[in-house]
Amino acid sequence: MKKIFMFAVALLASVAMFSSCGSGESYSPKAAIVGCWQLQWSDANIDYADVYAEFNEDMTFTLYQKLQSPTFKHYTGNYLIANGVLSGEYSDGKSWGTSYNIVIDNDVMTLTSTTNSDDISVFNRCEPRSDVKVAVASVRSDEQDDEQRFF
Amino acid sequence: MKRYFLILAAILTVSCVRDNFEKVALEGDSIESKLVFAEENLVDGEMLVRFAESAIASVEAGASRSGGTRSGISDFDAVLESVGVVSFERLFPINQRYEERAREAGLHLWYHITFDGGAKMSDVARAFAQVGEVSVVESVNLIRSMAMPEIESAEGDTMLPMAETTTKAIFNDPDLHKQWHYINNGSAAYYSGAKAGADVNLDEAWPITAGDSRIIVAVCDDAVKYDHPDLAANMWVNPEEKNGKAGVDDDHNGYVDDIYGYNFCSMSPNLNFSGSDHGTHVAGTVAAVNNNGIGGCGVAGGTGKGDGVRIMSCQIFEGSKGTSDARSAKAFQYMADNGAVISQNSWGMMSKLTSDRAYTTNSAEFAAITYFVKNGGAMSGGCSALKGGLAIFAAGNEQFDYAVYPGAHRSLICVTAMSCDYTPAYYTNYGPGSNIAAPGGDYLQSYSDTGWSKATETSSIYSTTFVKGNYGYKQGTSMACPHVSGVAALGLARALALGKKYSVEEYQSILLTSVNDISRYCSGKKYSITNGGQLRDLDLTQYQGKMGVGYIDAFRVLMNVEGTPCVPIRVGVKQSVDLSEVLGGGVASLKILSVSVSAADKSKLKIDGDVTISATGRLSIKCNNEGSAIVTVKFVAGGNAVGSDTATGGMEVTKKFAILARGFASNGGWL
Repeated sequence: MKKIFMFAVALLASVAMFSSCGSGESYSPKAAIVGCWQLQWSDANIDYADVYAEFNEDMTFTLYQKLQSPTFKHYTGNYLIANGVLSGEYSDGKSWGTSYNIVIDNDVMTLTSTTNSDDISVFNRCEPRSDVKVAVASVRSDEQDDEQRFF
Repeated sequence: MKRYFLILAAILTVSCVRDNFEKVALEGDSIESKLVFAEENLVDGEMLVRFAESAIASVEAGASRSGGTRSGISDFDAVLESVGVVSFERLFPINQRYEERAREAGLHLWYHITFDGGAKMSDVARAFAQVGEVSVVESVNLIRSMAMPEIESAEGDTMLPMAETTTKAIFNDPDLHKQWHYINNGSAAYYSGAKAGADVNLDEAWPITAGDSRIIVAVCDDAVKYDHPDLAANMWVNPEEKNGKAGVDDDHNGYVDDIYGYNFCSMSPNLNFSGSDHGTHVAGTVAAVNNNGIGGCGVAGGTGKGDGVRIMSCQIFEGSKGTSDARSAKAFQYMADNGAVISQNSWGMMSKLTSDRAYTTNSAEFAAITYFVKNGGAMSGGCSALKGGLAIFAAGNEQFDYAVYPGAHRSLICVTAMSCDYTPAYYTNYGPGSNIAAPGGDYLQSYSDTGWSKATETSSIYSTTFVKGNYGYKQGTSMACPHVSGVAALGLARALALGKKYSVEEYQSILLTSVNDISRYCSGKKYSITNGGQLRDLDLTQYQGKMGVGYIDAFRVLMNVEGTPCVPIRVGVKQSVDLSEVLGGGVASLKILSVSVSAADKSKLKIDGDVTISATGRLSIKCNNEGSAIVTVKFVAGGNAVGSDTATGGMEVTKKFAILARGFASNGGWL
């Protein structure tokens, strides 16, 4: 009897752990990821890496990034969390570079690439940013080909 | 019979002076080796000599004793007398504050002699060269303004309806809508073939900055009309002279009453306007006052709050006739010593030169330009963002397939001219020595729209004038050049705001990578005219790769001042990465000299094989490890070869940028 009880208690506890309860919950990535995040990154060769992401309840995300450049690049897409792994696809059909083991501990999200354990991105939860939305790059369209910027 | 004849006859040697247009110093320890002499475009009755360092003390003592008409060296003074000397004085006036550095630069060794004309100048040169204490004898030669003939426009120039042409009314200046060269929305009112974007991109730049009053741009040209209603508020004023005593060198800079600049033609403070408003038009492009409800705009003319850059008038021309390179030499010393950070020069040598050495060897003018580059800007209490002076030149308007000197020198930025549809202007020089393009106007375009019935100039450059009203159109590389000077000033304004400091080379690297591609427009044909005024077709393919790195983009300059982008690299995959954001939109046409990554970085990132740049300007790299590194690229700005002692060419530019290798997506996204 005791064993069953203990098991039931354990089961109940685990159910409680995985149920959604808003931001700040530390152990449910699917719930906890919803919100705004700012990349924490420093590198001697890079003046600044400003990467800001918003993950939405409807499984879409928005990403603004600028790497040592005054202009933001803007991306959107869908994401998925399954078995502690965060993956996603951009609206242009390109998949993410890798998928990530996701750990959210209070207001810190750590993403570790599933293909390269050295690739770790740490994000801090933050207030929504409106500045990024007006600062999106507008390089002259006449001199840029339509091909992808980087690849 | 003039007295000198007997003495000269005794001195004449058999060897012949090279009567060609290169001022060349010949090898060898002979009299000939001291001569830097060109017969073509000579200024009669003037000569420059440079004394040996060992002799200068006695020359200075002698000049002082004689009240400045003799050197105290008897051989030399005999020649002075024999040629009928009028004046013998140090070429570069003494500025007490900077005399030490002027002497370090050797400027104190140069003396300027004027004398009764009539003798054969090569004989006079040789006579001076015979004197042991003289190390160089240089002829004074003509330089010419890049003014183009005024066009007789039709009565009532096409008035462009405001609503039709204004892209964004950023400033309230009523004539901004005529200035396609700042913001071009492709309106047919400029020219039926005008294309949106063929401008310096000020609609994107001006919201960030429109100038800074701590920046002084010296306009080396005709005098600038300092009381013009749309220029007065942006004129540099020498406060000590303005508030000082007339007839007194109040600030001891070697010049008396130099309030707005100086007239180097007459060596007086009286700026003389001689019916030529070329200098005024050029100045207006740099810094006509913005947002003051009158006239048009200037690239760095401010926002209407007294924040335009300041214009210093260094008058070396009086009207359209040529002037001497002795005057321009003095002007460069003056602008360095008095706080200018940019020197704007829409002029060049009358004679053709084909190598850097031909221009620079024992040249007083080049010694002065070097002095400005080294000592301008922050080095003399000027703009703290640049540790030296930036000299910008026009390429010339003769349809030559080479740029003229001094601009063609590999260390100096030389500007070609573009039209309102991105095509090269029909008149522009291009090819070796050219570094970058900017709008210069092309009146044949708007003229052709009238069926050649009325010359109109809406496809030319609109700026401040005074000969026929306060505003008007001109065309030329003369007009293209101040667009680059003005954009350079905007970039420095941003640098000041951000506390950034550059060497001259670093800043040139920024300017020459802040461009959009122009080669793609060098195809097809357009109208040109022959010297006789006949219409002819111009094949534009001959300009490909010869207009410089591309046409300048003020917004890109500001972005590059903010910081060079970091290029994301997908780790573990061979990448081919577009570098137009780093090296400019013309990257596919650039001649790359080298691409390097340090051995330590290569090892850190486990870079497979070489890091190269393809013929289409894409970075080819494979990183097997995550991490960042610095890539250093050297390339030629303007053509396929850097200028050298033996052949005119482009400027060598070094640009560094960071790469970051990690699990980026193939579209560059972080995730």
